Order: sequence, then structure tokens, then C-alpha cells
Amino acid sequence: MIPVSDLLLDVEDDTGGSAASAGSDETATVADRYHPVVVWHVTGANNLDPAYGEDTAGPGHGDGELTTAEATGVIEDLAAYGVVAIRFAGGEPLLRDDLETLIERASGAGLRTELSTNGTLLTEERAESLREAGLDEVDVAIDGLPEHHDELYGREGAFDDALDGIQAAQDVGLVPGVRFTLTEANAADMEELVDLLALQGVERFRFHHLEYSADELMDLDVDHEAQRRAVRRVCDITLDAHDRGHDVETLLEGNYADTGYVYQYARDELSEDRAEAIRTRLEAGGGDPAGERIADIDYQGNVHLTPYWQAYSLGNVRDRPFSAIWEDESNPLLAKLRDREEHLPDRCPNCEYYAMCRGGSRHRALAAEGDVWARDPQCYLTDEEIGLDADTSPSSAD
Amino acid sequence: MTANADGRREAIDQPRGRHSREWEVFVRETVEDPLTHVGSVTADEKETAREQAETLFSDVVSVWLCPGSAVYRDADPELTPGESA
Repeated sequence: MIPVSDLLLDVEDDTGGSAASAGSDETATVADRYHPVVVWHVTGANNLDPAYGEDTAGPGHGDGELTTAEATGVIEDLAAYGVVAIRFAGGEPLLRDDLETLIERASGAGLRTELSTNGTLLTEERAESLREAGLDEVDVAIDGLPEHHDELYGREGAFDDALDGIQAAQDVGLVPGVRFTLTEANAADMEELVDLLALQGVERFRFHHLEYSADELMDLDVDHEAQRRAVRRVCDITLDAHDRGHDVETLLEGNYADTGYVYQYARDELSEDRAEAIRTRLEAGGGDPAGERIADIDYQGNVHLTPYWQAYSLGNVRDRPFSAIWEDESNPLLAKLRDREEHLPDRCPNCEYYAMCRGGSRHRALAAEGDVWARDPQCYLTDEEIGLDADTSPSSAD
Repeated sequence: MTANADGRREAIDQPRGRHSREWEVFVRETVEDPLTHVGSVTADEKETAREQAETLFSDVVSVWLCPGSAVYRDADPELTPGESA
């Protein structure tokens, strides 16, 4: 997670590398190897049919979904281990009737609780019960202007229903944000959408690069130049809103090449001092979090390295607790991810931005190249930008 | 996992693998090492599961796969979540 607005506008950091929202909770602690953020897909059920994201079980609940008793047992283990936050996701998590029970248990155990929803089931009554349960943060997925959003989610009116959900959350005192997944189809919608949603009172925007777990999803992905334009747009939107007196919180997720780009943007558009302060903060953030600062549990209890790396599971919480699975470095892959520098492609450790990025997405390398330790295909930074000259650059050597 | 009325423990046999099959993966890192369980991969076919496992664990001397549904799992209740834990 790259807190763009905090970085560019020099807002104090109080959550560091956490996937939890930066700057909004003084009690939040920084996520690290021993205190990860856990994304938990509590159900496979989904009332919409998104073009990407987790495999869903359709309108009904999936086979083998963790029971309420099992789920509360998992929460007790996560809290005892020191997990800093749980992000409840799906499927569509609001289809799970005991969601408030789970949030209440997690919140009561001192965990930060976040909800990632399509918003269409977020009535005022449901929003109130979530608030009473102790929910700290809710993000509604909106992936474009109405036409694009409805097409991506497979239902006419999904956009309007999501806006109603945002309004319902605001009416009960929650402060909903918007999660926007960048694709070729929606990249051009960004400015208009942010303006529209800002008028609705939305103050937090998470811009998420599309990850993929299957080849066909790459068709939706944006090319390198489009990625650069999108990241520049996020930076421009942030400064433009600030100049107009409307501060919005903007975050980038899913591609740590963005750290280098944001640094360069600050150097070009702001000042050297600001850029260096950004570098210091992003290096402290630790770069790609897979296997360290983020973990994922699916609705059947399988533990994954990231929310997108679903085809491989480290283990299942029905066999032993998450804490034991996460600590077990007899798993060679987990051990390598935590000691990744010597396994990454040559280009990475020599990159000027390595400490901010740490090699980018290993899952994306696996999906695109069939090699966990290949170059992240979405690293759009050129050899010149990352400080490699023609004599030493592996990609230029031939 | 819970205990039956006669005191026998119920096996952990809930479905895994969602839309596909789950394959338990075991690797031996060197000839001297024991075979170790290293998680599971999701794949419809054995060949795809083998490719996935060998890609993830490319520098081991042995990779074994077993369909998750073929495994009988019996563990101490302390290890499993739920009311009995």
C-alpha cells in the first residue's frame, strides 16, 4: 500500500506499511512479518458476477465454508498471534449472516477491522449493525463510471446500488472509501469518477492495480505506458484536489514499481527534499508484502501468500492454527520469500528503488512467466530510471 | 473438529479446493531430508498440479502429490479452530 496523498502532501505516518488505512487510526500498529494484515474471504457467495477477483461460489455459499464457531476460533488465534488487522472480503462478505459477530469478536480482541464490499447490499440498517459491531473501515468497490462498472460487475444498476451503499454507510457515521481496480477499460474514467464521488463525500480512494490468477485476466490489464499514466493521474488528482481545498486520501496498491514513479514525480513536481523524505518513508514501508506483512485466508480455511495467489495454499486452519502455518519456515517457498533478495532477478537488487519495492509481485511473475523468481511483468520502470547503465543492465546485455 | 458421543473424534473432512481439486504437496529438499508437507495446489488435473508444484519448489529432489480428498486427517482438537479448540 502506497499512501500517495500522505507522501505528496507530507502527512504524518502513523500506520507505516500496514494495509490498514494510513493516517486514520492512532492506535493502529505497523504490519510486519510477525504482525501481518490478514485478508479473509469469509464467503464464496457473491450477488454480482465480477469480471475479476476471487473465484466465487455464485449466489450460494461455497462448500466447506468455515462455520461461525470455527471462524471465531480463527479470530482468537489471529489476535493472540498479533495480527494487526483483518480485512473481511468475499465473494461478497455481506452475504455472510454472522459477519457482525465476527467483526465484534475481532474488534473486541483489539484487531482493526476493515470491510471490502461491492456495496450493493449495504443498507442503512446493515451499516448501523456493522458500526455497532466495531467496524473501523469500509471500502466499496467502484471500478468505473456507471456503464463500465455495471459491465464489469455483470448487472445494470450495480453502480447506483453501490452509491446507495456509500450513502447508507455515511448516514450512520462510517466513513466509506472507494476501491478502484485499474484496467484498460476504466483507466480513462478516473478523474471524472473521483470528482463525482468526492461530491458524494467520499474522501478515501484506493487505486488497485489488477492482479491476475489466470491468463485471460491479463486481457483486462493495462500496458506499461497506461500504468504510468494511471499512476501520474493519481498523483495529479491528489495535488489538484489539495490545491482546490478538497483533501482526499489516495492510496495505490498492487504494484510496487509505483514507489519509484511516485518518488520521481515528487522530485519533478515538488522538490528534492520532499522526494528524499518520500524515499525514506517508502523504504521503511518495506515494499512488496507477500509472505510477510500480508496474508490471506479463503472461505474454506486455506492460507495463501496474498489475496491473489489462490492456486497455492501454505496450509489450512482446520489442520493447525494460522499462527503455526505462518511461522513454519520449513516451507522452502515461504523461507525464500522472506529472504528474497538473493533469489530475485539480477535487475532488482541493483535497482535504485529496490528497498522501496523488493522485487515487486512474485505471484505476477509466476502467472506471467511461470517462474516465481522472474521479473515482475508490471515493472514499467526503465533501466535508465532505476539507475542501471547499459554496461551492467541484464536486460540490455544482449 | 469435534468429538462424537462415543468419544471418537470426527475426521477433518470438509471440502477444499473450491471450484477445482486440491492436491497436497510434499517435498524432500535433499536426499537426507524427510519428506515435508508444504501446503497444497489447486488444479483440475494431476499433470497441472505437478507443473505447479515443481514450479513453486524448483530446487528440491522430490515432489509428491496426493489428492486432498484422499487424505484422512485426524488431529488433536487443540490444533483446530472452533468450540472444541
